[in-house]
Amino acid sequence: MSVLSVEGVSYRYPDGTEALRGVSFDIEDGACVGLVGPNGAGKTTLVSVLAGFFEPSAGSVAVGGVRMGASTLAEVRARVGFVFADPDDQLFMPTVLEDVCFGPLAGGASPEEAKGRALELLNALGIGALASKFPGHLSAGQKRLATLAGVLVQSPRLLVLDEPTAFLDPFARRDTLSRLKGLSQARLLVTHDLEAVVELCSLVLLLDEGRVVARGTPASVLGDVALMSAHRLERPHILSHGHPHS
Amino acid sequence: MSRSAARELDLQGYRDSAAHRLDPRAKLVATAVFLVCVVSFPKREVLGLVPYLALPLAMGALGRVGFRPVARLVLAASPFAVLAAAANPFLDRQPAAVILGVAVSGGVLSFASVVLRYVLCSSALLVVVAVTTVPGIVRALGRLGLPRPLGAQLMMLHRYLFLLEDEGERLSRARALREPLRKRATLGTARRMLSSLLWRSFERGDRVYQCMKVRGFDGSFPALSPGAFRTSDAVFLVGVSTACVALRTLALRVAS
Ligand SMILES: Nc1ncnc2c1ncn2[C@@H]1O[C@H](COP(=O)(O)OP(=O)(O)O)[C@@H](O)[C@H]1O
Ligand SMILES: [Mg+2]
Repeated sequence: MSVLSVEGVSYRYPDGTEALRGVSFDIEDGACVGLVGPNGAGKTTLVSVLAGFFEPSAGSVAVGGVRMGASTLAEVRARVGFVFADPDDQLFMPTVLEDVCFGPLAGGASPEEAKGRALELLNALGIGALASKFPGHLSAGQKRLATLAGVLVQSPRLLVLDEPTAFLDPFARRDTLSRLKGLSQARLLVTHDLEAVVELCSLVLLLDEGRVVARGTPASVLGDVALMSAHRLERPHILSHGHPHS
Repeated sequence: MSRSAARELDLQGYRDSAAHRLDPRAKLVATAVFLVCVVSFPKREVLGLVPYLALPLAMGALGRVGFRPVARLVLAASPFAVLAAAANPFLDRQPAAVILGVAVSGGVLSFASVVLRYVLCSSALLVVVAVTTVPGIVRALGRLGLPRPLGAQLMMLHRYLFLLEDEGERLSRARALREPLRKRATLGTARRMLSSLLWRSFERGDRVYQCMKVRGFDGSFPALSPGAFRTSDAVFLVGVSTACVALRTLALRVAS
Protein backbone atom coordinates (compact mmCIF):
# COMPACT_ATOMS: atom_id res chain seq x y z
CA MET A 1 0.00 0.00 0.00
CA SER A 2 1.27 3.49 -0.67
CA VAL A 3 1.98 5.77 2.27
CA LEU A 4 2.04 8.91 0.20
CA SER A 5 0.09 9.54 -2.90
CA VAL A 6 0.52 12.81 -4.79
CA GLU A 7 -1.86 13.29 -7.70
CA GLY A 8 -1.65 16.04 -10.26
CA VAL A 9 -0.45 18.66 -7.77
CA SER A 10 0.04 22.19 -9.07
CA TYR A 11 1.02 25.25 -7.14
CA ARG A 12 1.18 28.87 -8.18
CA TYR A 13 2.78 31.53 -5.97
CA PRO A 14 0.80 34.72 -5.40
CA ASP A 15 3.19 36.53 -7.79
CA GLY A 16 2.17 34.15 -10.59
CA THR A 17 5.19 31.81 -10.60
CA GLU A 18 4.04 28.30 -11.54
CA ALA A 19 6.29 26.33 -9.22
CA LEU A 20 4.52 22.94 -9.57
CA ARG A 21 2.65 21.75 -12.67
CA GLY A 22 0.80 18.47 -12.27
CA VAL A 23 3.20 16.48 -10.12
CA SER A 24 2.17 12.85 -9.47
CA PHE A 25 3.95 10.04 -7.65
CA ASP A 26 3.43 7.41 -4.96
CA ILE A 27 5.67 6.18 -2.17
CA GLU A 28 5.24 2.60 -0.97
CA ASP A 29 5.53 1.56 2.65
CA GLY A 30 9.17 1.39 3.71
CA ALA A 31 10.53 2.66 0.39
CA CYS A 32 13.11 5.40 0.05
CA VAL A 33 12.45 7.76 -2.84
CA GLY A 34 14.87 10.44 -3.99
CA LEU A 35 13.63 13.78 -5.31
CA VAL A 36 16.29 15.63 -7.28
CA GLY A 37 16.34 18.61 -9.58
CA PRO A 38 18.26 21.81 -10.27
CA ASN A 39 17.77 24.98 -8.24
CA GLY A 40 14.33 26.43 -8.78
CA ALA A 41 12.86 23.10 -9.91
CA GLY A 42 10.14 23.26 -7.25
CA LYS A 43 11.50 20.87 -4.62
CA THR A 44 11.06 23.16 -1.64
CA THR A 45 7.62 24.16 -2.88
CA LEU A 46 6.63 20.50 -3.03
CA VAL A 47 7.84 19.92 0.52
CA SER A 48 5.82 22.95 1.65
CA VAL A 49 2.72 21.51 -0.01
CA LEU A 50 3.32 18.15 1.70
CA ALA A 51 3.69 19.91 5.04
CA GLY A 52 0.41 21.73 4.47
CA PHE A 53 1.98 25.19 4.40
CA PHE A 54 0.62 25.75 0.90
CA GLU A 55 -2.65 24.47 -0.47
CA PRO A 56 -2.25 23.08 -3.99
CA SER A 57 -4.12 25.02 -6.66
CA ALA A 58 -4.97 21.69 -8.32
CA GLY A 59 -4.58 18.01 -7.47
CA SER A 60 -4.46 16.25 -4.13
CA VAL A 61 -2.16 14.75 -1.54
CA ALA A 62 -3.08 11.71 0.56
CA VAL A 63 -1.12 10.18 3.40
CA GLY A 64 -1.97 6.62 4.42
CA GLY A 65 -5.21 6.93 2.47
CA VAL A 66 -6.29 10.14 4.23
CA ARG A 67 -6.69 13.03 1.85
CA MET A 68 -5.06 16.19 3.05
CA GLY A 69 -7.35 19.13 3.70
CA ALA A 70 -8.13 21.72 6.33
CA SER A 71 -10.03 19.22 8.48
CA THR A 72 -7.46 16.40 8.24
CA LEU A 73 -4.29 18.49 8.45
CA ALA A 74 -3.48 17.63 12.08
CA GLU A 75 -4.09 13.92 11.46
CA VAL A 76 -1.92 13.91 8.34
CA ARG A 77 0.89 15.83 10.02
CA ALA A 78 0.95 13.35 12.86
CA ARG A 79 1.86 10.62 10.35
CA VAL A 80 4.59 12.50 8.54
CA GLY A 81 7.88 13.62 10.00
CA PHE A 82 9.54 16.63 8.40
CA VAL A 83 13.23 17.35 8.67
CA PHE A 84 13.86 20.82 7.25
CA ALA A 85 17.05 22.06 5.69
CA ASP A 86 18.06 24.46 8.48
CA PRO A 87 18.13 22.69 11.87
CA ASP A 88 18.16 26.06 13.63
CA ASP A 89 14.64 26.66 12.37
CA GLN A 90 13.50 23.37 13.80
CA LEU A 91 15.10 23.17 17.23
CA PHE A 92 13.30 25.62 19.46
CA MET A 93 13.10 24.22 22.96
CA PRO A 94 15.66 25.11 25.65
CA THR A 95 17.35 21.68 25.74
CA VAL A 96 17.79 18.82 23.27
CA LEU A 97 15.75 16.48 25.46
CA GLU A 98 12.87 18.95 25.78
CA ASP A 99 12.97 19.54 22.06
CA VAL A 100 12.67 15.84 21.29
CA CYS A 101 9.88 15.54 23.88
CA PHE A 102 7.97 18.46 22.41
CA GLY A 103 6.00 16.44 19.84
CA PRO A 104 4.94 13.61 22.17
CA LEU A 105 3.97 16.07 24.93
CA ALA A 106 1.98 18.18 22.49
CA GLY A 107 0.32 14.95 21.38
CA GLY A 108 -0.75 14.17 24.93
CA ALA A 109 1.92 11.71 26.12
CA SER A 110 2.82 11.78 29.81
CA PRO A 111 6.17 13.38 30.70
CA GLU A 112 7.67 10.03 31.79
CA GLU A 113 6.59 8.33 28.60
CA ALA A 114 7.86 11.20 26.43
CA LYS A 115 11.17 11.30 28.26
CA GLY A 116 11.63 7.54 28.02
CA ARG A 117 10.99 7.48 24.30
CA ALA A 118 13.18 10.51 23.68
CA LEU A 119 16.15 9.18 25.62
CA GLU A 120 15.88 5.81 23.93
CA LEU A 121 16.02 7.49 20.52
CA LEU A 122 18.81 9.89 21.43
CA ASN A 123 20.85 6.93 22.64
CA ALA A 124 20.08 4.95 19.50
CA LEU A 125 21.30 7.91 17.43
CA GLY A 126 24.43 8.14 19.54
CA ILE A 127 23.69 11.57 21.04
CA GLY A 128 22.28 10.55 24.41
CA ALA A 129 25.04 12.51 26.14
CA LEU A 130 23.72 15.75 24.60
CA ALA A 131 20.25 15.48 26.15
CA SER A 132 20.63 18.40 28.56
CA LYS A 133 22.53 20.64 26.15
CA PHE A 134 21.26 23.85 24.58
CA PRO A 135 20.52 22.96 20.92
CA GLY A 136 22.21 26.13 19.67
CA HIS A 137 25.53 24.83 21.00
CA LEU A 138 25.63 21.60 19.01
CA SER A 139 27.68 20.96 15.89
CA ALA A 140 25.90 20.80 12.54
CA GLY A 141 25.96 16.99 12.56
CA GLN A 142 24.63 16.81 16.10
CA LYS A 143 21.88 19.30 15.27
CA ARG A 144 20.89 17.16 12.32
CA LEU A 145 20.62 14.05 14.49
CA ALA A 146 18.69 16.02 17.13
CA THR A 147 16.11 17.16 14.55
CA LEU A 148 15.88 13.58 13.32
CA ALA A 149 15.25 12.35 16.87
CA GLY A 150 12.55 15.01 17.35
CA VAL A 151 10.77 13.66 14.29
CA LEU A 152 11.32 9.91 14.78
CA VAL A 153 10.01 10.09 18.35
CA GLN A 154 6.54 10.58 16.91
CA SER A 155 6.77 7.28 15.00
CA PRO A 156 5.83 8.74 11.62
CA ARG A 157 5.02 6.42 8.73
CA LEU A 158 6.75 8.73 6.31
CA LEU A 159 9.79 10.95 6.64
CA VAL A 160 10.30 13.96 4.39
CA LEU A 161 13.91 15.07 4.49
CA ASP A 162 14.92 18.36 2.87
CA GLU A 163 18.68 18.40 2.25
CA PRO A 164 19.54 16.23 5.26
CA THR A 165 23.26 16.22 4.45
CA ALA A 166 23.63 19.98 3.91
CA PHE A 167 26.29 21.65 6.12
CA LEU A 168 27.67 18.30 7.29
CA ASP A 169 31.33 17.31 7.21
CA PRO A 170 32.14 13.98 5.51
CA PHE A 171 32.06 12.01 8.73
CA ALA A 172 28.77 13.47 9.94
CA ARG A 173 27.31 12.99 6.47
CA ARG A 174 28.27 9.32 6.44
CA ASP A 175 26.90 8.85 9.94
CA THR A 176 23.59 10.53 9.05
CA LEU A 177 23.26 8.54 5.84
CA SER A 178 23.85 5.20 7.51
CA ARG A 179 21.24 6.06 10.15
CA LEU A 180 18.74 7.05 7.47
CA LYS A 181 19.50 3.85 5.61
CA GLY A 182 18.65 1.78 8.67
CA LEU A 183 15.16 3.24 9.09
CA SER A 184 12.09 1.17 8.33
CA GLN A 185 9.80 4.12 7.54
CA ALA A 186 9.08 5.31 4.02
CA ARG A 187 11.37 8.22 3.18
CA LEU A 188 11.30 11.05 0.67
CA LEU A 189 14.82 12.34 0.31
CA VAL A 190 14.97 15.81 -1.28
CA THR A 191 18.57 16.61 -2.06
CA HIS A 192 21.40 17.75 -4.29
CA ASP A 193 23.52 14.98 -2.80
CA LEU A 194 23.10 12.55 -5.70
CA GLU A 195 25.56 10.04 -4.29
CA ALA A 196 23.35 9.76 -1.22
CA VAL A 197 20.37 9.09 -3.48
CA VAL A 198 22.23 6.28 -5.23
CA GLU A 199 23.10 4.73 -1.91
CA LEU A 200 19.72 4.98 -0.22
CA CYS A 201 16.95 5.15 -2.76
CA SER A 202 15.23 2.54 -4.87
CA LEU A 203 13.38 5.12 -6.93
CA VAL A 204 14.34 8.59 -8.15
CA LEU A 205 12.12 11.41 -9.35
CA LEU A 206 13.74 14.11 -11.44
CA LEU A 207 11.89 17.39 -11.08
CA ASP A 208 12.42 20.40 -13.33
CA GLU A 209 10.31 23.47 -13.94
CA GLY A 210 7.62 22.06 -11.71
CA ARG A 211 7.23 18.76 -13.58
CA VAL A 212 8.47 15.23 -12.95
CA VAL A 213 10.56 14.83 -16.11
CA ALA A 214 11.96 11.38 -15.37
CA ARG A 215 11.50 8.56 -12.88
CA GLY A 216 13.17 5.20 -12.38
CA THR A 217 16.02 3.50 -10.57
CA PRO A 218 18.97 5.69 -9.57
CA ALA A 219 21.14 3.97 -12.17
CA SER A 220 18.69 4.57 -15.00
CA VAL A 221 17.92 8.22 -14.19
CA LEU A 222 21.09 9.57 -12.59
CA GLY A 223 23.28 7.45 -14.86
CA ASP A 224 21.79 8.98 -18.01
CA VAL A 225 24.39 11.61 -18.87
CA ALA A 226 22.31 13.29 -21.58
CA LEU A 227 19.23 13.51 -19.36
CA MET A 228 21.25 14.81 -16.45
CA SER A 229 22.99 17.56 -18.35
CA ALA A 230 19.72 18.57 -20.04
CA HIS A 231 18.48 19.38 -16.54
CA ARG A 232 21.65 21.04 -15.26
CA LEU A 233 22.73 18.09 -13.13
CA GLU A 234 25.77 15.82 -13.15
CA ARG A 235 26.00 12.07 -13.19
CA PRO A 236 27.27 11.03 -9.73
CA HIS A 237 30.76 9.46 -9.63
CA ILE A 238 29.53 6.59 -7.57
CA LEU A 239 27.74 5.24 -10.65
CA SER A 240 30.94 4.98 -12.67
CA HIS A 241 32.88 3.25 -9.88
CA GLY A 242 29.99 0.98 -9.04
CA HIS A 243 30.69 1.26 -5.32
CA PRO A 244 30.36 4.02 -2.75
CA HIS A 245 33.37 6.04 -1.63
CA SER A 246 34.34 4.76 1.77
CA MET B 1 32.36 39.91 16.75
CA SER B 2 31.72 38.70 20.27
CA ARG B 3 28.39 37.41 21.36
CA SER B 4 26.13 40.11 22.71
CA ALA B 5 25.88 40.45 26.47
CA ALA B 6 22.18 39.59 26.26
CA ARG B 7 22.87 36.33 24.47
CA GLU B 8 25.65 35.46 26.88
CA LEU B 9 23.35 35.96 29.84
CA ASP B 10 20.60 33.99 28.14
CA LEU B 11 22.90 31.03 27.63
CA GLN B 12 24.13 31.06 31.22
CA GLY B 13 20.66 29.91 32.24
CA TYR B 14 21.44 26.46 30.82
CA ARG B 15 24.27 25.80 33.22
CA ASP B 16 23.92 23.90 36.41
CA SER B 17 24.48 25.23 39.93
CA ALA B 18 22.73 25.46 43.27
CA ALA B 19 21.15 28.72 42.10
CA HIS B 20 20.00 27.16 38.83
CA ARG B 21 18.45 24.21 40.64
CA LEU B 22 16.18 26.37 42.82
CA ASP B 23 12.53 26.29 41.81
CA PRO B 24 11.92 29.22 39.43
CA ARG B 25 8.82 30.15 41.41
CA ALA B 26 10.88 30.60 44.56
CA LYS B 27 13.35 32.80 42.68
CA LEU B 28 10.59 34.88 41.11
CA VAL B 29 8.66 35.52 44.30
CA ALA B 30 11.86 36.28 46.24
CA THR B 31 12.86 38.74 43.54
CA ALA B 32 9.44 40.37 43.67
CA VAL B 33 9.76 40.86 47.44
CA PHE B 34 13.25 42.29 46.89
CA LEU B 35 11.96 44.75 44.27
CA VAL B 36 9.04 45.90 46.40
CA CYS B 37 11.35 46.51 49.39
CA VAL B 38 13.88 48.43 47.31
CA VAL B 39 11.26 50.59 45.63
CA SER B 40 9.40 51.35 48.87
CA PHE B 41 12.29 53.21 50.54
CA PRO B 42 11.87 56.97 51.05
CA LYS B 43 13.09 59.03 48.13
CA ARG B 44 16.39 60.24 49.68
CA GLU B 45 17.45 56.88 51.10
CA VAL B 46 20.94 55.76 50.08
CA LEU B 47 22.66 53.96 52.95
CA GLY B 48 19.68 51.74 53.71
CA LEU B 49 19.75 50.47 50.12
CA VAL B 50 23.38 49.44 50.08
CA PRO B 51 22.97 46.10 51.92
CA TYR B 52 20.54 44.99 49.20
CA LEU B 53 23.46 44.70 46.81
CA ALA B 54 24.21 41.46 48.62
CA LEU B 55 21.34 39.60 46.94
CA PRO B 56 22.33 40.00 43.27
CA LEU B 57 25.98 39.52 44.25
CA ALA B 58 25.33 36.35 46.25
CA MET B 59 22.95 34.94 43.68
CA GLY B 60 25.42 35.74 40.90
CA ALA B 61 28.28 34.11 42.79
CA LEU B 62 26.23 31.03 43.62
CA GLY B 63 25.19 30.64 39.98
CA ARG B 64 28.66 31.61 38.68
CA VAL B 65 27.04 34.33 36.56
CA GLY B 66 29.59 36.38 34.66
CA PHE B 67 29.94 39.88 36.11
CA ARG B 68 30.66 41.49 32.76
CA PRO B 69 27.50 40.70 30.80
CA VAL B 70 25.36 41.86 33.74
CA ALA B 71 27.40 45.04 34.14
CA ARG B 72 27.27 45.73 30.41
CA LEU B 73 23.49 45.37 30.25
CA VAL B 74 22.97 47.47 33.40
CA LEU B 75 25.18 50.16 31.91
CA ALA B 76 23.48 49.96 28.52
CA ALA B 77 20.14 51.08 29.94
CA SER B 78 21.56 53.36 32.65
CA PRO B 79 21.24 56.60 30.65
CA PHE B 80 17.48 56.34 31.13
CA ALA B 81 17.81 56.12 34.91
CA VAL B 82 20.40 58.89 35.05
CA LEU B 83 18.30 61.11 32.82
CA ALA B 84 15.19 60.49 34.92
CA ALA B 85 17.01 61.65 38.04
CA ALA B 86 19.32 64.27 36.55
CA ALA B 87 17.17 67.25 37.47
CA ASN B 88 16.98 66.36 41.19
CA PRO B 89 20.26 67.98 42.33
CA PHE B 90 19.18 71.26 40.71
CA LEU B 91 15.64 71.30 42.03
CA ASP B 92 16.38 70.38 45.63
CA ARG B 93 19.41 72.24 46.98
CA GLN B 94 18.60 72.16 50.68
CA PRO B 95 21.38 70.47 52.65
CA ALA B 96 19.89 67.23 53.91
CA ALA B 97 22.79 65.30 55.38
CA VAL B 98 26.41 65.57 56.29
CA ILE B 99 28.60 62.84 54.87
CA LEU B 100 32.31 62.76 55.85
CA GLY B 101 32.08 66.39 56.89
CA VAL B 102 30.51 67.59 53.62
CA ALA B 103 26.96 68.88 53.52
CA VAL B 104 24.98 67.06 50.84
CA SER B 105 21.79 68.45 49.37
CA GLY B 106 18.54 66.50 49.24
CA GLY B 107 18.69 66.59 45.45
CA VAL B 108 22.05 64.85 45.31
CA LEU B 109 20.82 62.21 47.74
CA SER B 110 17.69 61.48 45.75
CA PHE B 111 19.73 61.36 42.54
CA ALA B 112 22.07 58.77 44.11
CA SER B 113 19.06 56.91 45.44
CA VAL B 114 17.39 56.61 42.03
CA VAL B 115 20.57 55.41 40.37
CA LEU B 116 21.26 52.90 43.12
CA ARG B 117 17.71 51.58 42.96
CA TYR B 118 18.01 51.21 39.22
CA VAL B 119 21.25 49.23 39.59
CA LEU B 120 19.73 47.02 42.28
CA CYS B 121 16.52 46.23 40.41
CA SER B 122 18.07 45.69 36.99
CA SER B 123 20.96 43.56 38.22
CA ALA B 124 18.64 41.43 40.37
CA LEU B 125 16.36 40.78 37.38
CA LEU B 126 19.27 40.01 35.06
CA VAL B 127 20.83 37.61 37.55
CA VAL B 128 17.53 35.78 37.95
CA VAL B 129 17.32 35.36 34.17
CA ALA B 130 20.89 34.11 34.11
CA VAL B 131 20.17 31.39 36.68
CA THR B 132 16.69 30.46 35.43
CA THR B 133 16.42 30.99 31.61
CA VAL B 134 13.58 32.96 30.10
CA PRO B 135 11.52 29.84 29.31
CA GLY B 136 11.96 28.76 32.93
CA ILE B 137 10.68 32.12 34.15
CA VAL B 138 7.75 32.09 31.75
CA ARG B 139 6.77 28.60 32.92
CA ALA B 140 7.01 29.64 36.54
CA LEU B 141 4.79 32.63 35.78
CA GLY B 142 2.35 30.22 34.18
CA ARG B 143 2.28 28.09 37.32
CA LEU B 144 1.76 31.23 39.35
CA GLY B 145 -1.31 32.06 37.27
CA LEU B 146 -0.14 33.88 34.12
CA PRO B 147 -2.62 33.07 31.31
CA ARG B 148 -1.24 30.50 28.85
CA PRO B 149 -1.54 32.60 25.66
CA LEU B 150 0.42 35.39 27.33
CA GLY B 151 3.13 32.91 28.33
CA ALA B 152 3.35 31.57 24.77
CA GLN B 153 3.66 35.17 23.51
CA LEU B 154 6.57 35.80 25.86
CA MET B 155 8.32 32.61 24.73
CA MET B 156 7.93 33.56 21.07
CA LEU B 157 9.08 37.11 21.73
CA HIS B 158 12.20 35.76 23.44
CA ARG B 159 12.97 33.49 20.51
CA TYR B 160 12.27 36.14 17.88
CA LEU B 161 14.49 38.70 19.59
CA PHE B 162 17.44 36.39 19.12
CA LEU B 163 16.43 35.57 15.55
CA LEU B 164 16.46 39.29 14.90
CA GLU B 165 19.89 39.57 16.43
CA ASP B 166 21.16 36.61 14.36
CA GLU B 167 19.92 38.08 11.12
CA GLY B 168 21.28 41.49 12.04
CA GLU B 169 24.68 40.04 12.71
CA ARG B 170 24.72 38.16 9.39
CA LEU B 171 23.74 41.30 7.53
CA SER B 172 26.33 43.48 9.17
CA ARG B 173 29.04 40.88 8.55
CA ALA B 174 28.04 40.63 4.92
CA ARG B 175 28.26 44.40 4.59
CA ALA B 176 31.60 44.63 6.38
CA LEU B 177 33.12 41.99 4.11
CA ARG B 178 32.00 43.77 0.98
CA GLU B 179 33.02 47.23 2.16
CA PRO B 180 36.21 46.43 4.03
CA LEU B 181 37.45 50.01 3.95
CA ARG B 182 34.37 51.52 5.53
CA LYS B 183 33.99 50.93 9.24
CA ARG B 184 30.37 51.93 9.49
CA ALA B 185 27.54 51.67 7.03
CA THR B 186 26.49 54.97 5.43
CA LEU B 187 23.04 56.19 6.38
CA GLY B 188 21.59 55.07 3.05
CA THR B 189 23.03 51.59 3.36
CA ALA B 190 21.92 51.35 6.97
CA ARG B 191 18.38 52.27 5.99
CA ARG B 192 18.22 49.62 3.31
CA MET B 193 19.84 47.07 5.62
CA LEU B 194 17.19 47.75 8.21
CA SER B 195 14.34 47.04 5.82
CA SER B 196 16.13 43.91 4.65
CA LEU B 197 16.64 42.90 8.28
CA LEU B 198 12.96 43.22 9.09
CA TRP B 199 11.97 41.27 6.01
CA ARG B 200 14.48 38.48 6.67
CA SER B 201 13.52 38.19 10.32
CA PHE B 202 9.88 38.05 9.35
CA GLU B 203 10.50 35.22 6.87
CA ARG B 204 12.74 33.35 9.28
CA GLY B 205 10.17 33.76 12.05
CA ASP B 206 7.56 32.33 9.71
CA ARG B 207 9.76 29.31 8.93
CA VAL B 208 10.33 28.67 12.62
CA TYR B 209 6.63 28.95 13.33
CA GLN B 210 5.78 26.56 10.49
CA CYS B 211 8.34 24.06 11.79
CA MET B 212 6.69 24.27 15.19
CA LYS B 213 3.25 23.77 13.74
CA VAL B 214 4.14 20.57 11.89
CA ARG B 215 5.39 19.16 15.14
CA GLY B 216 2.06 19.81 16.81
CA PHE B 217 2.52 23.28 18.37
CA ASP B 218 -0.85 24.44 19.68
CA GLY B 219 0.15 27.51 21.64
CA SER B 220 1.65 25.88 24.68
CA PHE B 221 5.18 24.91 25.61
CA PRO B 222 4.79 21.69 27.57
CA ALA B 223 7.24 21.29 30.43
CA LEU B 224 9.05 18.01 30.77
CA SER B 225 9.37 17.93 34.53
CA PRO B 226 7.19 20.50 36.27
CA GLY B 227 9.44 20.04 39.31
CA ALA B 228 8.31 19.96 42.90
CA PHE B 229 8.74 22.79 45.36
CA ARG B 230 11.36 21.37 47.73
CA THR B 231 12.37 22.30 51.24
CA SER B 232 15.48 24.06 49.94
CA ASP B 233 13.26 26.26 47.74
CA ALA B 234 11.10 27.17 50.71
CA VAL B 235 14.17 27.92 52.85
CA PHE B 236 15.56 30.16 50.10
CA LEU B 237 12.28 31.99 49.60
CA VAL B 238 11.61 32.55 53.30
CA GLY B 239 15.26 33.48 53.98
CA VAL B 240 15.55 36.05 51.22
CA SER B 241 12.11 37.57 51.86
CA THR B 242 12.73 37.85 55.59
CA ALA B 243 16.11 39.47 55.02
CA CYS B 244 14.66 41.99 52.56
CA VAL B 245 11.77 42.94 54.80
CA ALA B 246 14.00 43.07 57.90
CA LEU B 247 16.46 45.41 56.18
CA ARG B 248 13.54 47.60 55.21
CA THR B 249 12.01 47.81 58.71
CA LEU B 250 15.43 48.24 60.30
CA ALA B 251 16.05 51.25 58.07
CA LEU B 252 12.73 52.70 59.25
CA ARG B 253 13.87 52.50 62.88
CA VAL B 254 17.17 54.19 62.16
CA ALA B 255 15.41 56.99 60.32
CA SER B 256 12.88 57.66 63.04
N1 LIG C 1 7.84 32.87 -2.13
C1 LIG C 1 7.94 32.76 -3.45
N2 LIG C 1 7.26 33.61 -4.25
C2 LIG C 1 7.35 33.51 -5.59
N3 LIG C 1 8.07 32.58 -6.25
C3 LIG C 1 8.75 31.70 -5.52
C4 LIG C 1 8.73 31.75 -4.08
N4 LIG C 1 9.52 30.74 -3.63
C5 LIG C 1 10.00 30.10 -4.72
N5 LIG C 1 9.55 30.67 -5.86
C6 LIG C 1 9.82 30.23 -7.23
O1 LIG C 1 9.26 28.93 -7.41
C7 LIG C 1 10.13 28.11 -8.17
C8 LIG C 1 10.48 26.87 -7.40
O2 LIG C 1 11.23 27.22 -6.27
P1 LIG C 1 11.71 26.17 -5.17
O3 LIG C 1 10.57 25.29 -4.83
O4 LIG C 1 12.33 26.94 -4.07
O5 LIG C 1 12.82 25.35 -5.96
P2 LIG C 1 13.97 24.38 -5.42
O6 LIG C 1 13.72 24.13 -3.99
O7 LIG C 1 13.86 23.16 -6.26
O8 LIG C 1 15.28 25.05 -5.65
C9 LIG C 1 11.34 28.98 -8.54
O9 LIG C 1 11.12 29.50 -9.81
C10 LIG C 1 11.30 30.08 -7.51
O10 LIG C 1 11.84 31.25 -8.03
MG1 LIG D 1 15.05 24.47 -2.32
